[in-house]
Amino acid sequence: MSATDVITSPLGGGADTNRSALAQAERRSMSRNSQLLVAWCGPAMFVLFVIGSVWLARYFPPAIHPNDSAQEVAQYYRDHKDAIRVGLVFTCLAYALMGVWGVCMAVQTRRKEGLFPVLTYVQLTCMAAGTAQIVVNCGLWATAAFRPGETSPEITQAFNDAGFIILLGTWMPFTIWAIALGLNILLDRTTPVFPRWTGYFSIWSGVCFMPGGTVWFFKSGPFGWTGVVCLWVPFVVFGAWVLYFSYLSMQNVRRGFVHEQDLAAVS
Amino acid sequence: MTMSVPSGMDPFVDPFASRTARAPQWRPRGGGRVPGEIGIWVFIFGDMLVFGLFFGVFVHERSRSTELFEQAHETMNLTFGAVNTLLLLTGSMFVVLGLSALRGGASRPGSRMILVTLLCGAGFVLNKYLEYSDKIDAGHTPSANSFYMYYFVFTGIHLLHLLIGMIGLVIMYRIARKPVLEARDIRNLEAGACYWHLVDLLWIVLFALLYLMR
Amino acid sequence: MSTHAGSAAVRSSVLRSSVRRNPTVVAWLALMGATVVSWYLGEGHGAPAAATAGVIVVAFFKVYLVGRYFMELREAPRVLRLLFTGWAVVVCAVLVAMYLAAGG
Repeated sequence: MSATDVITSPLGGGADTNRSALAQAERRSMSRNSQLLVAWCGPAMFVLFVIGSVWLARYFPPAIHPNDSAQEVAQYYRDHKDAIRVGLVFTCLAYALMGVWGVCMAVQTRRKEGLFPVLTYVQLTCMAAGTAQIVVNCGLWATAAFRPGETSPEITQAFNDAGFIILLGTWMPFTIWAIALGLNILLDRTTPVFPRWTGYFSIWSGVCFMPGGTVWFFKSGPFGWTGVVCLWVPFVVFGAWVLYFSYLSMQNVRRGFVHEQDLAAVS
Repeated sequence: MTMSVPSGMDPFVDPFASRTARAPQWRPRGGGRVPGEIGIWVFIFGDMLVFGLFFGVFVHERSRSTELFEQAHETMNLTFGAVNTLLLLTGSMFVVLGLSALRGGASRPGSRMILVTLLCGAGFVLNKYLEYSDKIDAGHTPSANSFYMYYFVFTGIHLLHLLIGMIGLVIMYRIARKPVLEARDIRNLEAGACYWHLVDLLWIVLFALLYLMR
Repeated sequence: MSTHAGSAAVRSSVLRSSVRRNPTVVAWLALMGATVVSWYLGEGHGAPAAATAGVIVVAFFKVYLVGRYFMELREAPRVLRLLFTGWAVVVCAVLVAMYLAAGG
């Protein structure tokens, strides 16, 4: 019971009648603004990624091919080390905001899950693991750009490889995350927080991250890290997934679907 | 413990909490009945789009190195692919028959037909396992040449879809054994059936491209 | 209970109607026939270019049959039918064109 009271405190706690309406409205508007803030992290991620990876560091689409020689890779890093370093700052910021955006999704679905929000926990765990992974891959690329031309080219190449192998090859937490979000919507028998079809859309997105795994096995063609299947399918679908769910969350917050939970039904 | 606040008076109150109605479903205009629900069609068309890309990539790469693909194609065993096509087609037919039996309230024949489909799916997996081990024993590994790279990646992704579909069939079997089916159960059965047909139709094209093109 | 008592009657009627005029079974027979035809073409009969183009067209005709009769698109809203048929026609045309452009 006490857990329920804590969670529904803005409107619950009937004994606590001396709380003024003003204080309640303030708390609601704070939650509203913070939810809008985290929802806007989706588009912000997109913009920072374009600045960092597409424009400056040129990791998307990758300037370096998986079958380039170690000398070519080291040469590229030496010639562009400043752009790569600055670009990686923006890219890493974009990837870190994914953790914030993931909280936005979890908050949206959590209100409908009752006292034991299993799927929301799955979302949070996998989202955090995925964020950690891709932040680390920025660190590996930054390592490659740290002493290009000073260390032997094979070392630069190895760190560059490791970055792509983590970025695209570790799709598993992302897929589980998207499937958990989709199940959160589909298993809701009342009115889901997002339209029902978006549950299927989310699961499909999770399935579309899988072709990224081919990066571990192939060094050229559509299954290498420059390929249409390995790189473009997961990235385009991930972008559409993030932007569309950001839009839906903002719409929910604007319509005032902020606070109230379905906890009354389970307590 | 939630205090009831009349919705519509306070802009910050979540209208969901006071509403327990069924989830609203968007319906396309122009009459007709959506098989399953519109969401499963989003999934199906999304998957068809991605596989359409895969097919295009394969034929494009084939036209760039025709000789290699023709030589590699000589080593394919058409019987494996054809048997799998026939298995999937038969399974699909049994899903349709089972579904129409279940709509008529015949729980037992309906659920048995879903079991037959599940058997066809298991036969597909067994056949695929035999084919894969046959290919690998003969030295045709994914890294051997680009034809076998496409063969293993595309049939592997398809096999994954099929395994997801078999999980769906197990869930459908459990639903079908319920004594009374609600509208929601029928909707879920139809969605699972449509997904299974998607697995079937993607294989039809893969069979043509990987086994029959020359 | 009543469901199970009536199930035998329904099963026999399903089986009886499946012998004749059940569109699902007719579609299944057509699909099996088309598979055998394309198997024959793929095994080395006929000129390679014509046979391969034929194989691709037959495959997408099978896709159309699966959509129309198995996925029950013949009763579905027009949007779904148009998207499905459009996908089959476009992908089929692109694949055949790419194959023939490469010189067969």
